[in-house]
Amino acid sequence: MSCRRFRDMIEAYIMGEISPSERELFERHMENCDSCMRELQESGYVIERIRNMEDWVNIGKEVLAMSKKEIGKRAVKRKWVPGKLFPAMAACFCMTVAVLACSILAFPSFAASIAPRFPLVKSMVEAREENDQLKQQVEEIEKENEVLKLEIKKIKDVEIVQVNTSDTVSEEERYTIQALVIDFVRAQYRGDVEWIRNACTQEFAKHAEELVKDKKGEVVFTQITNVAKEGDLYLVFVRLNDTSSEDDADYQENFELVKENGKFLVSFVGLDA
Amino acid sequence: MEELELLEAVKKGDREAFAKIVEKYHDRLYFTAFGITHSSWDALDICQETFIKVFTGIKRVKDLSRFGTWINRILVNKCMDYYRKSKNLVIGEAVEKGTDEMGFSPEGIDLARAILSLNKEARTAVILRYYQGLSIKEISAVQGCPEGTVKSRLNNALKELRKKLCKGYEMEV
Ligand SMILES: [Zn+2]
Repeated sequence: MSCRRFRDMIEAYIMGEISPSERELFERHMENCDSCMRELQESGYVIERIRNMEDWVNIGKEVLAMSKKEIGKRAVKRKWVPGKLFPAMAACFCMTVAVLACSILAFPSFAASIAPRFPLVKSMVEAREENDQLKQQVEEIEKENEVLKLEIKKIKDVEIVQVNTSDTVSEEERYTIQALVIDFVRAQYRGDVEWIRNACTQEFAKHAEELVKDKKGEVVFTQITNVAKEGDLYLVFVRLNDTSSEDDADYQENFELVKENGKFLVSFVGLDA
Repeated sequence: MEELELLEAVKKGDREAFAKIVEKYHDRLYFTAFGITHSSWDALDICQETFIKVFTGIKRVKDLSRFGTWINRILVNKCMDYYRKSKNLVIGEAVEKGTDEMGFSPEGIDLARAILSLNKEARTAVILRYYQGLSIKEISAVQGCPEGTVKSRLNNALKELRKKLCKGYEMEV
């Protein structure tokens, strides 16, 4: 049989798509025909390199992981809108965003010039710009009454920087809520779904399992806001990192709580990278 | 859980099931989009938008057994949109520099250049076939063209790639 016919079979042979009988004929021809054999080897080489394309591409695992998280967030369409928070809370948010932007953009792969095109970073940058304006307004208020203060606090056994925003909740309530949030994060890292379910509102408890996903390693708390109140919602942000990934960038969990029968329950947790 | 069960759950809006599907397909789709566009950031964008479209559009999909084809079709269409939108950009610019921290590594530059020399349809077929391992039939469904067209695209592309990648390459016999 002619070489032409066998050459047409090379691709299918490499892809494992020819029948056993054809295969035998094919292999016999290859053994006896140098030029077909060469084409087979070259095609095999090309296909193998494309198959292993991932080996030739640099992309951090953390970037892929963040992308997956971002998809989850976007699918839920539940977004934290800084503009809606009252000014003092927004001031605290813009501080954390500044810290956040630094740590995010410090990702080795996030060259600043191209980083803004990544949707997650894009929204971060937008948030930062929005917050820069907000910050200016807030700074004026801030000068007058110095609502924005950093304080080292001891909550349970954790020493943590508290960002003071406003004083709409009592010291006692604030401690209760912050302690709850810290325990909540620890339960996430323990993978204690049951604990989390009990700490959430009935509605939000449905997401308990999602909330323990991807939480690995030792948790390290770095910052917590004091508690702001908006309508019936109590808002508190906590910044943390863990030992599971190589970079030690902080991320942020935004908690919303409600008070039901004198008990605080978590009604929403949003992630900010 | 079987993929079909997961997909049925996603259809009902189950976000946990959706997360599992994302986990399963994300990286593969990312590298596919990257192979086609040669732009890390756009590939991430395309990949994310593909999943959002899956999440919102899955309710209308009757035959979930062909989910793999469907999601690839969305992805590939988005890659083609990308080309339409970035007509004026030099595609794969970063490849030439070979220095960006995300993108082809220096050892992969020859591969990058070779793939980039193909037209976008051929490049897409090559990535779907050799990176993802799809069948000719699946690729014809993804690209919306006859199987014969896919075959000849692959044939010509392989010839091109051999020329570029095997030049001076001594095969061990
Ligand atoms: Zn021959």
